[in-house]
Amino acid sequence: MNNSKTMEDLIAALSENLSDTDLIKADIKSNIANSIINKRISMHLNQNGLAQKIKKSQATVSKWENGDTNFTIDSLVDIAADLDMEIYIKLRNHIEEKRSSVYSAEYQKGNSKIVAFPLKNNWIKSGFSEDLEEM
Amino acid sequence: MDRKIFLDNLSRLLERIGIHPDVIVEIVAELKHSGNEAGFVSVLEARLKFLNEHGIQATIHKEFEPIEKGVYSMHIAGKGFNMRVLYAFSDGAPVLLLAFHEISGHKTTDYTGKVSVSLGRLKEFKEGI
Repeated sequence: MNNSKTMEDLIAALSENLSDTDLIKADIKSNIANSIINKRISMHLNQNGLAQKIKKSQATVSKWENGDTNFTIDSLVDIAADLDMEIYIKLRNHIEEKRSSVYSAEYQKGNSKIVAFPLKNNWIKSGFSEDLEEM
Repeated sequence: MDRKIFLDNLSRLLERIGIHPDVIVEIVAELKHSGNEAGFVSVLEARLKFLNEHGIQATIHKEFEPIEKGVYSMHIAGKGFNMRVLYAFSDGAPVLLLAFHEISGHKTTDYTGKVSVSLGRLKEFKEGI
């Protein structure tokens, strides 16, 4: 047998008819579901136990954990508070993402030469300041 | 969004999971049958990420269960779809072997014949490496 079929082939087949936004939604929803499951497991609780602890129904917890729940911001913040988890949501322009990535990579390396960025380009300077404020 | 980069990253994230070629056809058949492709992909992605992260311990999730002879079952259900994916492990990594539509209303899943097919495919997968 030829094992040439891989996860890449499966993902290509699954995503064929999905829009870019559908793919992002699936990615976010699946990550949130698994974050809730992992947190519940770390608390040594089953779905019913968690439901009782946060005063929800077991069916609600089950729905959250399935992977296709369209959470509202309100419900996400409530869940994060109930589970003692952090939540971080940010909308930003693509260019911000790129410069943030550059900054982040430098910061993670512990590179103190970050000041060597081309400060004459104002957008980098302001972006750097914004990122510092967020930290 | 750069679609290619996004899909490449997702593939890399899950590349530890092996796949028998026939299971791709079976999963796509369930996807087309669902009428809810976005929901289907979302749930399947959640399960695959969980399996990738937890490996043989994935059965701590209620939608995963051991069946017999080293074969496990993963349940993927939502609006318009209800599927089981059988998997086993090869060199410690999960391998998706067989997927089938589960008829609703049954209390227990009928795995008659499914385990032997899965084991046959696992053998083929290992021989192909």
